[in-house]
Parts: sequence; structure tokens; C-alpha cells
Amino acid sequence: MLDNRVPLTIAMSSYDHVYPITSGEVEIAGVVPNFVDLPIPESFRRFINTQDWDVAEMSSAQYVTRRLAGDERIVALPIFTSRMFRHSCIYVRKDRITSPEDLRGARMGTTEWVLTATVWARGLLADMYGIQPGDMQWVQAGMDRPGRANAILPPSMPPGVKLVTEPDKTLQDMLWSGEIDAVMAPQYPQGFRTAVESSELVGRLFEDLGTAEREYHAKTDVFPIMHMVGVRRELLEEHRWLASNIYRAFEVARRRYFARLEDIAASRVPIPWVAAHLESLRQTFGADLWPYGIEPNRTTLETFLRYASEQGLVADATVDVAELFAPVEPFVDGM
Amino acid sequence: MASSPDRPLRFTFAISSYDHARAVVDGRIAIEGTAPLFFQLPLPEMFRRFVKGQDWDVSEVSFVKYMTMRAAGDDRLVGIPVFPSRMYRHTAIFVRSDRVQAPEDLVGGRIGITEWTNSAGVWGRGLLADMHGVQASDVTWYQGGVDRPGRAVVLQAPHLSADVDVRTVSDRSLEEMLWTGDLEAIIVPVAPPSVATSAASGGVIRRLFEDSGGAERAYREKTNCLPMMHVIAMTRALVERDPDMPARIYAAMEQARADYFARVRDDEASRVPLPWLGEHLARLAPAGTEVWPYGVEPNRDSIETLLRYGRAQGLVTGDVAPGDLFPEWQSAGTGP
Repeated sequence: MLDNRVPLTIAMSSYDHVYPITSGEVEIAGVVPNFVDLPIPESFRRFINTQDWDVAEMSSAQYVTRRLAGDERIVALPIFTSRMFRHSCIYVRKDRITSPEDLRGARMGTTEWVLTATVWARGLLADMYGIQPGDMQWVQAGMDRPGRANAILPPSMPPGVKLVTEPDKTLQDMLWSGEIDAVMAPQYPQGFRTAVESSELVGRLFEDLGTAEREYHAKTDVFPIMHMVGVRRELLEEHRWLASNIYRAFEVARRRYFARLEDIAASRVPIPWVAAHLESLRQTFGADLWPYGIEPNRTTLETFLRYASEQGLVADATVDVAELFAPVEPFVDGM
Repeated sequence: MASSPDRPLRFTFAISSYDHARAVVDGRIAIEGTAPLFFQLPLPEMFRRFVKGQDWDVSEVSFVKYMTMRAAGDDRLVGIPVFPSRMYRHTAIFVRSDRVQAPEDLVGGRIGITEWTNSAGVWGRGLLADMHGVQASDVTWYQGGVDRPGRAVVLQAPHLSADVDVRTVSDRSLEEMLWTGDLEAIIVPVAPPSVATSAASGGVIRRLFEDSGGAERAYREKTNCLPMMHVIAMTRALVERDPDMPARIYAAMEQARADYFARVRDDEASRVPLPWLGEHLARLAPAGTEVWPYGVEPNRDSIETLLRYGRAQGLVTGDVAPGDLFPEWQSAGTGP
């Protein structure tokens, strides 16, 4: 049989709500996918800079920075694979910092300025505790080995923000030696986390993460988006059906995940009382707790754009967030 | 003949879809030295064909059926303490609310079940006895098809006591009998749509436990059980071909289980789309313990409870300890 389907390379990390697509159970109509799952930083860097893949999960921060600087080679779809509150990404010297307000004037280590997780973390410090990026002194270095390349640089640092690079040191050493007072990074190596467990000196800024994150959500109505899906623009121009077909497949996969949680024939996930947990999440987030599409995510997207602007990633925060995404046909379940 | 790297052992493995077993099924976690062929079938057919004819080499199977066979000295199947499906079965009990308002009202009543050895039914009867004093002999039992008449009975209870009245209905469905009032209740793993709809909308047929979460937590407090529905078992012939198979399959399944929880904790990305799941799990298992353990020791309370139910319900007789159900796995010495 003649197969005219379009072969596409799709870089996608491992998600239970995406699994039916990567396993082939749910097809992207018209597409023969070739899935690639590489470490996230490498996968993202190779997509944003050289478009090594046709379709890929990507960093929200890298995308808006490039897109609003006029780079139109990639267009986002409103599919949000990874979402996390990022209160967990700040560790502090407990002998110096006991509350967020203590960060005023502190030296804050970070691995890279244009990282989605730290955009959200800097934003929450500003929105909830009045700590602006300019209230801290920023020190950039590798986490556990010296030297870290920037995947992309911001067009400008916001006025009043000072960032120095320490190419020969690591954040981990500087935190323990006291050269910096705190550190903010999306991910910590196992060695760091093990050291923290037995340390009196270093710990999370927010010891009670759940409470701090719920307060943030209650105040802002935001559920932070980390990653979105991007497509090479020329493919969308060549195949006008492609954006909506991809969107539809991700919707079907996501819905399948949540339907499986309610399967009473067998426990599809090893979580006792998952229904009770789901119910409590629905009370917080609404019936659809992990929505795709623009409108149900407008507050989150607008907040992200505001943070990106306050932090120097983008010059213009007045753009309508819908303009960042390719138009897609809304998914309709049923007739 | 035992397997070796250049001669991988080929075998067939039937298992339903579980996020905590997926890595084995899709091959990311290997069962060392083997080349398995996996397939998925509807659970009742899977269990029936494996118990009756061993149509494949390794299978997910009803834990109650496995326990019943093994305790009776039938060792055609060799189990390993891997429990893919575990659920409290309070939600499996549906009643006519015009006759039954509380569990105690079931005394003297008629209850429909799929078959006496169905796991949901065994755990359901057990919790009625443990928590509410309703004994198997207090009720008349009707085993039959849930939404159509006639259902093949895969396994009979070998030691059913004379004072327990179990009848088989072959000309009517349990669903119909419940609606016409010829049953006061049913205990079924999956409710037919008319029953589920009625229960969801406050109709005459309802769940016995409207606050199932509260009832389940009280049961957990009292018994320390997380009821296991299914177990992984293999044919005796496979173990004779390679006595290491119980240990190898266990190792792969345990790795997949551990990977699931590692993914939940991953701070790089949300591998599972459920915020605050770590918090939920931490509340269920004190530090250093597992929410969803495999092995005998971490499941001792649940297995002993099921054996006790088995003795009360005529499935098991005499002294059988949890470890006696997994002697081949225990002698391999590879797990808790």
C-alpha cells in the first residue's frame, strides 16, 4: 500500500499523559513519527538553536525569548507537557536565610538566566514576597562542575540586576563555603540532594512546599507551565492540517490518562486513593486540572509573559499570548 | 534448558496495562536472559484461560484463585509476590437502598456475586465480617453473570462449610435480579451501567458505603491491608525449564515498580500529571516504607488477612503461611 504519510522526527521526554502517543497506541493522523528521547537540556538546545527535530518539546522561556526577539523558525502549539510549581527549586543557607524576605541583599547562585523554572521562581518571589530580581546579587556557575554554557542569552538584563559569572567555581561549593547565600536551579544532582539530607547548613527555602505552592495558586490562579510543544514553521506552512492533528493526538492521550485513573477493573496506577487525591486537585484547579489550549491557561501564560518581561527575557509583554501559538481546532469529545 | 545470553529463553506473558509494569512490557527493563512475547486480554478471559489451560507461560492471575489452588496442594502454577492490581473493594458492594441502609441490614439478605472465588467478592465478604460482623453464613449467595445470564465458574470453593448457602443462577443476570428485588445487594468488580448510573445519581440502587474513602481508611486502620486483587504466576513447566525465572521476573517487575515512584519524584519534569502526588503518597506510607510494596514481608498483614478470609470462606484449610504461597520464589532468596 502506498504510504503518503509525512515522516516526522519528534523529540519527546517520558510522560504518562503522552505515553499513548510515543507507544503508538494513539496516532497523529497523517504522520509517521520517529520518536527521540534525549536528556532534556540537550534536546531543547538542539531544537531551539538548530531545529534538529521537526516537532519537539521545548522550554517556555527559551521559546518566548527567541520568538519575541523575532526568530520565527519555530511555532508553539498549546500543549503543555510539563507543569510544576517551582518553590522547590530554591535552596538556602539556613544559618542566614530563614524566610523569603531574608533574600533581600543576598547572593543568589543560578545556573543560567533563561530557564523556565527559574523564571517562575523569580516571579513567585516578586509576586508573593516583594523580592525583585534586582534585590539580589546573581552569581552564575555550573552546579557541580565549573563552566556552564548558556543555551541562549537574554536580549538584555533588566535594569538594576547584577549578574557575575564564576567560570572556575561550582554553585555547590560556593553554597557550602558561604560564598553565596542561596541557589536557584531547575534540578539538583543526586550528590547535592544527598548532602542536603544530612546537612544542618543547607535546606529548602520553603520547608512546607505544599502550603507555599497552594498559597501561590490561591493568590495568582497560576499553575506554572514548564514545557510546550513546538513545530518547525515551514512544516506548518507545508501541511495546514498538521497543527490540529498533533494537538488532537495529545488531547486524546491526556484524556486517556485521566480515564485510566478511574478504571475500577484494576489499579492502572499504584496509588491508593488516587480518586480522593484527584478530587482534591479538582477542587483546587477545576474539573480539568491539566488543560491544553490557550483560554484555560490564559492567566498562567500572561503571568509567564509578565515575568519574562520583568526579567529581561522579552522586551514587549503587551503581545496577546494567543499570538505565540499556531491556531488549532479545539478538541471536541463526542458528536 | 536454562537460558543464556546467546540463547534467550522465549516465553509468553499475559498482563493487563499498568503504569508500574509498563517498562517491562515495552522492553525498557529486560527480564534477564529472555525474549518474552507480551499480550493483553480482557482480565476475566486472561484468568480463565490461564487457570484452566495455561494457554501461556506467565500471567497476571486472580490472587484468590492462585491462593486457593496453592493452599490445596495444586502446584501447577508458581507465583511470585508481585501484585499489580490492589484496591479496596468497598466500592464493589451495591445495595437496594429501600431495603439496606447499613451493612448490618444485609443479615438474612440475598447477595449476587460473579463467583465465590472472585477476588472482589472474597475481600468484600471479608470486610463485611471484620468491620460489621456480617458472616458468610448470614447471607444467601447467588453466583451468576453480572449483565447477562450464565457465567462459567472457573474455580469452586473446595472447603465450603455446610452452613454457607451458595446457589448458582444460570437463567437470569444479577443486574436484573437486583432491579426486580430478587437480590438485596451485589458485590461485583465492575458495575454494569444501569447500576453505576443509579449509584451516581442517588437512585434506588446505591453503594453500600456512600463515603467509601472514609470506610476504606477505617478498614486500613484496623487491618493494615491494601487488598491485592492479582498476582503474577507462571507455569511449573517454565520453572522446570529455568528455575531462575521466578527471581528474574520478580527483579524486572520490582525495577519497574521502583522506576514508577522515581518518576513521581523527578524534579526535572512532571512525568505524572498529578500535582502534589508526592505529598499524597507520603501521607500513606511512613518514611522508610513503601506505599505499594512487592515481596512477602512488606505484605504480610494483607496476605495473612486474605488467608484468614480464605479459611472463613472455604477456600483454604489448615495452616498456610504467606511464605507457603511462594516457596519457589523464597528459595531463590531474592526479595523481602
